[in-house]
Amino acid sequence: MYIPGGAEDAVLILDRLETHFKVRTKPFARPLSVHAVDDVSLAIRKGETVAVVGESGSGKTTLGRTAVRLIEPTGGRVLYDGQDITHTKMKNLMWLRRKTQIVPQDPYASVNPAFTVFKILEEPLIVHHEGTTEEREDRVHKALESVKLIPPDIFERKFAHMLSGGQRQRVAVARAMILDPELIIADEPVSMLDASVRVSILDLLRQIQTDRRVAFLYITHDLATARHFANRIAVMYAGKLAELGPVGSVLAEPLHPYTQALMAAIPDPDPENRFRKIAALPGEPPSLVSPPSGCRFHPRCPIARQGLCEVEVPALRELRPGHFVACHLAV
Amino acid sequence: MDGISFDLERGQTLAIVGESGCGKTSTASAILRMLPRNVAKYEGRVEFDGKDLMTLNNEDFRTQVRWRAVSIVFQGAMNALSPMIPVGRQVAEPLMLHLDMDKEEARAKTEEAMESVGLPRYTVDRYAHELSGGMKQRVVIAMALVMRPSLVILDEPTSALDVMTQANIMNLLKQLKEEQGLSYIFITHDLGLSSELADWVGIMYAGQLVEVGPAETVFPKPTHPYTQKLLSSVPRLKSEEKPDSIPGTPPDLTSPPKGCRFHPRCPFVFEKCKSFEPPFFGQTDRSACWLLEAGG
Repeated sequence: MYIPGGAEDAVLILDRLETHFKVRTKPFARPLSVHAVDDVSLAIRKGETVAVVGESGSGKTTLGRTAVRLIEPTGGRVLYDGQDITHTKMKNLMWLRRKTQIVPQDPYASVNPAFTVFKILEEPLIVHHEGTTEEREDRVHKALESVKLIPPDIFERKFAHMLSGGQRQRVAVARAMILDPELIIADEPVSMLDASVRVSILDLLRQIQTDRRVAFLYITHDLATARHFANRIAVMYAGKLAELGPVGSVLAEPLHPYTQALMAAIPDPDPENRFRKIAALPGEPPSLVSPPSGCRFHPRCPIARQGLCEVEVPALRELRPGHFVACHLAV
Repeated sequence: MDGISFDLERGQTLAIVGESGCGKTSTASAILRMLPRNVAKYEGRVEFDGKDLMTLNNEDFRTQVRWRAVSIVFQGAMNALSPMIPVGRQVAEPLMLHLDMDKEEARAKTEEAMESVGLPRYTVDRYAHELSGGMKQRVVIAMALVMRPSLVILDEPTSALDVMTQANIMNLLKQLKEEQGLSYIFITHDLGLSSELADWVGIMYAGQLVEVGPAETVFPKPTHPYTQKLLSSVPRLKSEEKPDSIPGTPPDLTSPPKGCRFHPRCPFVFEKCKSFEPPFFGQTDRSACWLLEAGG
């Protein structure tokens, strides 16, 4: 097993993970497969945040869900705490459901509108047979306090529609935290929120991380928030890893042309911006049913070399300490 | 929304930036008189090309101003394209209705409009489901441009799009501005994005403009505490600076706070802020904040 970036002290290891979906375009037609995640190897260390960055359709959400077996992988292995869970039966995975949690993207869809905040937070405890009624009450209060929904006895009686978007996301974070997980998959947790609220939610997640040493898989399309929250960045393109490395190294010196384009596409507030053209990539991400040959990025790549890039699949190479890139031309 | 005043020169772009619920979209809809009839009460003046639009009756407004002089790209408009009608016919509709063009002429104009937004001519015969998000957004922009208006209101034109598609659309908007001398009112909650188009920036808070000024001064040196807070809350990609959150939540607009509406969240609040509403201070970069009284 070879994991780029190493796998010491890892809570989760993805070893050449592959998730393909079967789709039929017509009834009875031969099913086609969508290569959502292809040959991704990645480890998340205890207490570490790895940001998975990519456009929609790059397979980042599928990667996150496959990592905790909410979607079944079609190839490769998933190891949790060194234990292979790729083929473990679901009923034997209740412990995994306690140790890994998800903060979903849309706080308007992910909290039950018919439940009070108290019930939302108590439910995971009931499912996992935790504590007596009084103990559960106490833990719900503590969880609400830890996400700054204060005073808890007011907030626990509210329904989701009485809360703002930021407050709902805090409830979703509290729900993810209440079982004391070791790993949280945060799937675009701030993309639906206002800019000023975003920072406070990310601050909250970071604080939880340092207080309790929780590892995060932070799925996002926004490199700017990844910079301020993650330790390492994994850039995905069309189901494959394009670049992987420590945040500082990747953003100071992006080696993959796709990462470079992603960085150019996100403007910092600067009055000079309006006088320049953004160095954006033309076209659209490729179809994952029949991904391009060779390097999947070659049809949109500004520096693709004919005879090489459309022929050979680039391997991840370590060009800087801990900083890997899948590009033939990067040096 | 309450007491909004600004002016905009031809060929210039004003970006209106604020958090959700601050009244950005209402401002845009009010310019086009598109607020629901039961809630809307219009007061004040809207002047366009030296003409006072408030004196026009609804029928004149509809035929002379809306879409012909001022058009709008709504937030999520690409999802409002009809799935049953080819997109070209939807773009051509105002041409046939307002300008009495016949089918061939309208089609030619529509194809031209498609080309100007970087789409192939045959897109006119496509249905909405055949197009990607970025292409649909281009169609919606073509729709806003087809009557050759001089002012286009862009209400979060890229909020549902991917970063790369968003960058391409911003490039397109810049190019159209240069080629056709368009003016934009660009409504967004993203300060970084606003700097891609804005010559002037207006910051809105709780239904009011709190700061208006040229991009050159507002982005590097904002004078209103809210603008300062908002700017420092933006996570920067190209600098190490840590983003900072704004404490508290925006006020309930049914009973806004007395005095300056930002005072409950303002780090520099003093007695006067709590009871008196601040007027605008400053010359080019104007801010409604008592701190700036007597030259600040």
